[in-house]
Amino acid sequence: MIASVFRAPSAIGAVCQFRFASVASPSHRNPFVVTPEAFVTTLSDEAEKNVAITKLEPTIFRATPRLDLLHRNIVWQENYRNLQLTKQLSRAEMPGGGKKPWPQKKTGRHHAGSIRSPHFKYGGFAHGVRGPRTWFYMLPDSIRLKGLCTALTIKHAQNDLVIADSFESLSSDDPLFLHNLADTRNWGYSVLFVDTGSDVATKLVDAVEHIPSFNAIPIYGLNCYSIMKYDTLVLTKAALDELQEKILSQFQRTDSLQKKYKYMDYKPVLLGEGQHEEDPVFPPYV
Amino acid sequence: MAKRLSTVLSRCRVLQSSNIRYFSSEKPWENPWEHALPKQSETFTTFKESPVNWANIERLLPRSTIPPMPRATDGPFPSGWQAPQDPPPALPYFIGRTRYHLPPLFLERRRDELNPMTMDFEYVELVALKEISGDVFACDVDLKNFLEAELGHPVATYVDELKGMIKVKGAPRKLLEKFVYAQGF
Repeated sequence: MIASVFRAPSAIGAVCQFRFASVASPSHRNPFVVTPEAFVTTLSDEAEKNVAITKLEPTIFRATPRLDLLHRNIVWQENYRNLQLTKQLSRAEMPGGGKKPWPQKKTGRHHAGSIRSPHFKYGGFAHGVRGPRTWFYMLPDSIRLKGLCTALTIKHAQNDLVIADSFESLSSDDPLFLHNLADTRNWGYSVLFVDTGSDVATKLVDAVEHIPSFNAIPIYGLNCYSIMKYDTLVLTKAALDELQEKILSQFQRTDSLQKKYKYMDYKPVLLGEGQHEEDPVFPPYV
Repeated sequence: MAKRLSTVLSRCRVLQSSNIRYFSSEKPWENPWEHALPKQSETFTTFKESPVNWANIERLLPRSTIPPMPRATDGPFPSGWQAPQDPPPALPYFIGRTRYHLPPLFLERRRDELNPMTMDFEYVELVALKEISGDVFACDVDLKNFLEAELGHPVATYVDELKGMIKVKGAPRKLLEKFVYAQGF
């Protein structure tokens, strides 16, 4: 929580102005909180041209950098979808092997109880990988939110956060133009363009399609792994506002942020996913 | 017989859709989705909405977002809760409130020593004051003076400057809450 020992004179009485006035900033009373700011640029020319300055929410873009929580988030993202489908059969599951192959003594051969014992060719596994297994787990919402805030704080503090007025301002759909633009502005090798929805400006999509290290995603696809993976994060102003509103509204919800994931809470949602697609006669159209 | 009837009926349903297309002048390739997707018809009765005052029910529904902090002008609160000063007091530190607009005081019980007579662990009860911005050590000095004046015996404090937290041993939580309200946070 410590931002600066001395009071920021302009911060007293300063309120973060957002487009969505219904969601109030939780730290607007604190005079020691420095409100981070960012330029809003246009993508019309290769050279950097700043159009406006926008204030950012300090709880999101100037949060205490909890690197341990960010690490937990990234590890979670990498592991929670893991599924192991292999099963190595044990000696009981292998076909045959019910009878003692030769008598215990006097044959000169080693002691054997079944031909599917692990030391036999075509025998079962002693300590094999057993059946379908999942590494699924869910992190509490507080840790996921803190991880996002930390990742965004890091990107902003390291000058890797770019706010564009709109992706419509991109003047050309030539991928070389976008590449030179990113090169002139020192965006780095990989750039992630974030828009409000999946309907992104056509010129940007055409340009990004041909550059493998540049990608465009909607706001609901933003995650810690992607934020840290890409060198630069380019958000539209609308996407920034929506992101801030969504994160702030989560901090202001009545439910506990330490809620434990229970399948029971999500069961009706998961089982009812394809309900409207069901037809008594025809199979679902995919 | 019942099974055969259902297959005949399903065939009728398919024929019905092709019959509809037969009577239209549109070619199949002009609108391929019309034939590919099944025709779904719904039969709902008409309805009329009557004006009902739902206020008595809405006030009982659970809230989804925490309501904004009540003002000091909303009157003295029976729980003893006090609103923070607006603007905040001119001190070198600032103590924020939790999500639920309460002073950030948290209790902790740490294991202390094993008592060899009773063979039980003895515990130490601590109170943590979090959400401190600015000069945490100045807050610690003020806190110590306040508590020692109230209690009459010295209290131990542990200051974590990075986290903006002070842990106190030997003072009840209610007294720290009194300090937070007295300072105007």
